[in-house]
Amino acid sequence: MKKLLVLILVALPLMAASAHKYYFSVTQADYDVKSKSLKIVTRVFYDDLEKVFQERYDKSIKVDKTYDQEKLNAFIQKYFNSKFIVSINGKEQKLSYIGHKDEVDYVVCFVEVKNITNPQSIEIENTLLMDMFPDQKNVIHLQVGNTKKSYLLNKENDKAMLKLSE
Amino acid sequence: MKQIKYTLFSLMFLAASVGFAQEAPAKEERQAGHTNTNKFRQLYNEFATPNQFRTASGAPGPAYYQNEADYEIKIELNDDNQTISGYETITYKNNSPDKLEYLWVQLDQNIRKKDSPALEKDGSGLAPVNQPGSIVNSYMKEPFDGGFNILEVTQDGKPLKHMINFTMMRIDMPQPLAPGEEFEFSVKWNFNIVEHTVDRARSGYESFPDGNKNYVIAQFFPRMCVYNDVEGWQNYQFWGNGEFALPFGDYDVEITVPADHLLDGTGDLVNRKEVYSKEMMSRWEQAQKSYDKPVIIRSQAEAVEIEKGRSKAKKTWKLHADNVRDFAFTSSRKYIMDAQAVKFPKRDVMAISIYPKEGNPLWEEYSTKAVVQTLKSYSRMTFDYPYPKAISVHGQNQGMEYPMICWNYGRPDEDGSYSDRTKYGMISVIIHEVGHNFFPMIVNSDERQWGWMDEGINTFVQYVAEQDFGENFPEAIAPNSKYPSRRGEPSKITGYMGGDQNFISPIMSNPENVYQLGNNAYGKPATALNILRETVMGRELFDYSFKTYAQRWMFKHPTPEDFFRTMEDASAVDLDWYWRGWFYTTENVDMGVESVKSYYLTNKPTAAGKEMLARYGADPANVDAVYVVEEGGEDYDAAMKGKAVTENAPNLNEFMMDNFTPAERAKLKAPKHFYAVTFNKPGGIPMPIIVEYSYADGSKEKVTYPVQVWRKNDAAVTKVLATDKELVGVMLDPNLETADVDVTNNSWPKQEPVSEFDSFKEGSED
Repeated sequence: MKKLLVLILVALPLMAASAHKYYFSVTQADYDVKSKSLKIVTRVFYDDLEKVFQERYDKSIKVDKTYDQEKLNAFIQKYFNSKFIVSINGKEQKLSYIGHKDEVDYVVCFVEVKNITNPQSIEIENTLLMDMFPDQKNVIHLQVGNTKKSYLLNKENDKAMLKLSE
Repeated sequence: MKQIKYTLFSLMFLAASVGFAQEAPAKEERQAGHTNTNKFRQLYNEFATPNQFRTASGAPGPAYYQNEADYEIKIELNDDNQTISGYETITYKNNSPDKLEYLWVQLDQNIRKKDSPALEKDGSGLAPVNQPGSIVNSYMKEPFDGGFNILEVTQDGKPLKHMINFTMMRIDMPQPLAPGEEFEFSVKWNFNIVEHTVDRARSGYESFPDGNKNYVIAQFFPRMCVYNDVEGWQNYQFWGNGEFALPFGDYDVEITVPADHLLDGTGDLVNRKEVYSKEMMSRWEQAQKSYDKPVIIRSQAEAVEIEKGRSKAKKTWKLHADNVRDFAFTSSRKYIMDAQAVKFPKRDVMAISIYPKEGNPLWEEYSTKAVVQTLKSYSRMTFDYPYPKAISVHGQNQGMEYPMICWNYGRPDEDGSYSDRTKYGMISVIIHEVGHNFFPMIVNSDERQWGWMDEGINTFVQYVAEQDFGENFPEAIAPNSKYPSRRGEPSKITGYMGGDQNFISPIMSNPENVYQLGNNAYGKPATALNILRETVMGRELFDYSFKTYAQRWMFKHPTPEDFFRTMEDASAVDLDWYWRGWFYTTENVDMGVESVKSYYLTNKPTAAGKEMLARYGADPANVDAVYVVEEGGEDYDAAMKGKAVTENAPNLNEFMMDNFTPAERAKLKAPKHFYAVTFNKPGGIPMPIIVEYSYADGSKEKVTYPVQVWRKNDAAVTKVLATDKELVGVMLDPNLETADVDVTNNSWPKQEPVSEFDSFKEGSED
């Protein structure tokens, strides 16, 4: 069977400038004392995620409303489980996938880590999209109470660590 | 008299004691001096000195000049091997006061030469997983053999000395070209057309499974650089991000393509009767009288039949354009075409859409509608569209503009279905690209140096046109109540402006050197102009000044300063602080309510009051003064609360009786509460302070303090409210007009806004 070379293109609208492609994601992670959970909102360029999913899971995947949303949610959940690893007090945690919404350039993914009572340290290993784009940079803004810290992660340095001192 | 003198003196204390006590700092260390760093200082240092070419008012000066270039071009497009061969004669007119020893000509296609340095201009790494196609493309395939093959450069048939540096060619003049003189020379060339869907490009061809190709052709001929008073020759190389600086002129172009192609381009199609069938001709004449809806010139059914053939015959299409800065065209046997007329006071303009069947059903439904809206909205904001037509062409993954013609993406899936993203993306890009006719095709700024001057200004007017589209076609945007513009609203730029400073550059940067070009040159300047219009200047002042700028510089070459100066000059609104903050720095807007303190007035001397009087050598017993007491503080008496100010400070009553008639007294207000509201500004950019005060009786009041409140203290400012109602809430920027990057500090009492996470989770749990 002839294998088709499927050239998936960077579907970035040019808008009269060959927009210099940059590989970026932004995650906002806030610890909520009332719900005892870490609330995570991650923004990823939808066309990059689509490229990864098509390569990794199924060539027919589209990261937009024309594709089966249940299937899409399942893929996002699967991908996060392998590429976004949260450890509290040294122990790896289970991610609860809440859902996603579409913005013009981004997919916004909502994930929660529940049952966190007394976080002493939070570690996040974020290798989203690094399996496909060597220049991928993932920013994480982490907030626990009054402590705010930002991390710029890349392939060589993919872990964000926050120790909450007494 | 004595009475008045003392009571006036005392009212001074009221003002002075609520606020920051000015104390001379204890001088221990020597402080370093500084230059004027006030955020409201004028941009004298940043702007060029006004001169005879460009006035201080922002208009072309008495000695303003611009050079021109006319073109006679004959080319053939070879559909079998995707090449173009051509011959052109350029007539270059030197209207400058300078003698030109050489001319510079742009060779854009050279960015694709096999040895082009542009191929190596960026760094990259190796991904662990790759598509087979990208490995082949990047490391195994022979690079595309692009670039111009310049066969001849001649004057009067004799070879002209020339030198090619990458994308620029220098013509060494046999004699310097004197002011006022013309120089005519010819070039013969050919090149391979790039497949733009594979090697990203602003022009080229798209291949279809049946072998057919759609051509969207531009930058296909050697063309003149701009010579002016600001840059000399603008011959900065074409690296891919910085776009084009081009002189105006007239074009006569003849293009030979397969006989079954449909072609259109910049200018008037002068031999339309020769190249159209009788049927198409009659439909075209119908379209010229159709002002309310498009007329199909070549239908999908017809195109589907024609695309099955491969005509071996040729046809030559002839176009003529006056006063344009560039030339582009599109050609394919697959094309469908529709057109509609738009009425303007001095002329009719044809709005045209050209697309293959792959663009339907979206394109037939929305493209020409969007073109028409663009022409109307942009004309209202600037000047009546002066060209005979505006074409929107569908090209896969494209978004690029040329005079009177542009390429736009927006392709449904094969089964005809499309997402909102595709639909609104398409309408928006059509508006954007057609809008570019105004900026920079007619208001012809130097894109190579200042990407934002056309992209940012265009994106701003695009926002206005999109909102108009939404109002005029509510069915098209349903269930949205207004057009979901991607750029323009202040709240949409806060993520970028509040983000990592390592990835932000000032708007006033060369487009080659910035991160996030979309945000930098499109989104942020568009938002800045939108805020200027809606919040800082107001629509009336803004629209008048903006129109003045557009009309001063139509068919001319403005610089950023010409824009900045005109906007102030025509409105009497000082804007140097605004240009400086928004355009010259990467600072952002973040203002907050630091504190709200409640005060009462009393005639009983307070501790602080006595101390202040002592400094001036006055004895409280001899001075008729009104003292200020903070609620809950020392000297506060709970009995003060709820009383009118004249009850707590009866001497005020005596003052009023002595100095005002009963009729005047009736008009005086009697506040019960005094509040000192302190606003702070963690962000760098000063903005007007828009506040909504909420009172205990449920009423609200919106107040705007002018941005000038920040001029002497950049960190914090206090305003006093004297009111007879109890203040229960202060909300800063309630309608999110200022692009405040952090709204968690915008309210008193402090409100934690619902987080994005919580509002999503609650929404999805329905």
